[in-house]
Amino acid sequence: MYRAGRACAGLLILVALTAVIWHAYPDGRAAVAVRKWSMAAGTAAGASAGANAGLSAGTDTGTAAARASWELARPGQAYDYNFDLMARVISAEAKGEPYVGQVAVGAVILNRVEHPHFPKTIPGVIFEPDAFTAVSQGTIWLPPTASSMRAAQDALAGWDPTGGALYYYNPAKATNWWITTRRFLVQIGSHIFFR
Amino acid sequence: MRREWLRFGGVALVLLLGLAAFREYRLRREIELRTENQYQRAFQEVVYHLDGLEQELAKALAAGSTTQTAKAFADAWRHSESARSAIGQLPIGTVPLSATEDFVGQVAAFTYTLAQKGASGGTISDREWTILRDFRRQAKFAAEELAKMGRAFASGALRWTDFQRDTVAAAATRPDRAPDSAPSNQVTKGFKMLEDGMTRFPSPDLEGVLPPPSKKLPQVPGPVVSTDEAVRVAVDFIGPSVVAGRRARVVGRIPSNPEAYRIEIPAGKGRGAVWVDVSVKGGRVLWMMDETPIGPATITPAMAERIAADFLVSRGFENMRPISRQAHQEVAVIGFAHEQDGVLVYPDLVLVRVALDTGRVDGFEGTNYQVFHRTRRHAAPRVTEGEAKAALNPRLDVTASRLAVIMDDFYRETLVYEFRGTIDGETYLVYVNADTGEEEKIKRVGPQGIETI
Repeated sequence: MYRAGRACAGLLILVALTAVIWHAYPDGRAAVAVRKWSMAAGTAAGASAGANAGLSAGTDTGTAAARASWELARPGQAYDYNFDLMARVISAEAKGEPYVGQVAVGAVILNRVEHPHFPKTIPGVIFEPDAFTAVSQGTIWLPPTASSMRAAQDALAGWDPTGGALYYYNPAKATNWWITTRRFLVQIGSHIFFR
Repeated sequence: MRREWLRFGGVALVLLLGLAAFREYRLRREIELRTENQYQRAFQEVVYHLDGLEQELAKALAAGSTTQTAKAFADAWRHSESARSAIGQLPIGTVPLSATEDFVGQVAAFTYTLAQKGASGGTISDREWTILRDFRRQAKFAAEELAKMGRAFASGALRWTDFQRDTVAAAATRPDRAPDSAPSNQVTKGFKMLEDGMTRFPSPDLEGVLPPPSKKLPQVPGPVVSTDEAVRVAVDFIGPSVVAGRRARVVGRIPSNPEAYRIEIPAGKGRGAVWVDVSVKGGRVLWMMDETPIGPATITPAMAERIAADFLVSRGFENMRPISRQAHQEVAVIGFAHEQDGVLVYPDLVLVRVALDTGRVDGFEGTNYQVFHRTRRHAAPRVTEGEAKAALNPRLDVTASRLAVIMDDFYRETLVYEFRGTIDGETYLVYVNADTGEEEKIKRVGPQGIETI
């Protein structure tokens, strides 16, 4: 009698705890939470997106300074996703780097867009699997810093401090033997740029 | 009594932990499966579009009429661009696939060019037909190789997510110490077969047919300058008040596009570092950037434009006309193009960035100007402005016009009439060839935050 009562009580506790765990962490809810968080972070940059990629100058020479041509931007668009994404990648990848090094990360993204070996759009380049640590680790969904937004503007306007780099890496943070097969261009801050 | 409760609690805890672990495992498997399915989809799309590309190229080879040819090229272009986009969704960043990617990029550019040509009624030349034939053979090979790899995936022996894990690990390992990971080797081998096969095809002679793929700029004209001279050029350009006794030094040499000395003036005395690239040939300033922090704005973008224009004059840039103005919170970026004999030369382009707190110039980008600027001999336009205007959409409400030089991807310059006009509240720049009277290019202007002058 005594035993049966205790067994019943134990079973009840077990069921209660299971229910708690089951409901505290269903897949759906975790996903919603992440989405909410990223949306909140998303508005931070959108508001100040004064820097539209388009028409840095009324020309189309197809070269560095004029590359921020109309293919990359939609005139009059209130929320510029290209600018916003770039600022986020710069912020997450080059926080603490010299300003020129931040512009350089933006320039690498644009150099890839122009290169036949990479996707043709800024989101395509940024979300290529394993292309950027910031994307793989989710840090691009943190609000971008003010200087990274300015750096994105400058990169889109046409500044390229890398001499046409397609790759970079931070030797202090990562070992990447594969990248050493590429052509060295320049070091800026703690990043080494390659083509 | 107490002991029994303890025992019971222990069992319950173990059960709960097991349950939590199981859920964790299930969740992880589900997420992995979703990722795997996305990669599978991307891969199948690459196969599908390469197959479609091959079919359209084959049609284009056989087509007799201009209409059918143009249609085949348009479809081939769509397939090649879609293939490129799908390739970009695969986790193959460290897999050497440059020949295959070159091929897809070249076919896309080639089919686009020919679709355009077809749209304007042109026929393909013998040379273009030969290139097309070679591309078709290559597309067939690539589609077949990929289909073979697809079979390995379909059999379930191989998962993209495993492959991704292995290649990411391998990229961080020295090549000679890379583990000989068995399952992903099959994919690696498949890609290697594809790549080796693609390199064996003779590369078609695309000189003049397609623009240079990586947009490599010509060198700046002029003799090679020494590092000392380059530092002098940089210091003169920045100006003694900004240098403020700091020591400029060469910190690097950029090997290309164009070749340049990298000069840095370190931060200090309340100022941020200044970076300047001076071309090795010609000793010209390609770009400059001053990292000094910017305070609250005190000047307007219109004032910034005057400051930028004065700056250019003081640095020896003659006859520069403002063409664009981007105003941000802290800076304004003004674009200028050179004007010669009343013709606006767009290739001779510079950007000047003005900090809106004190109104100092804190950035300059003049690579295009330095590479392309020269005294040009403009031929007289064969078409009058009135004739050129006839090429425009009659609905365009023209507000201004001028002669200009524009440049295409081959760095070829064309003399055009530039018409500014509005339709439905939107502003456009329309370029009409001053020799043929044909509409060359249409641009829409006036995005938010940008005033085009």
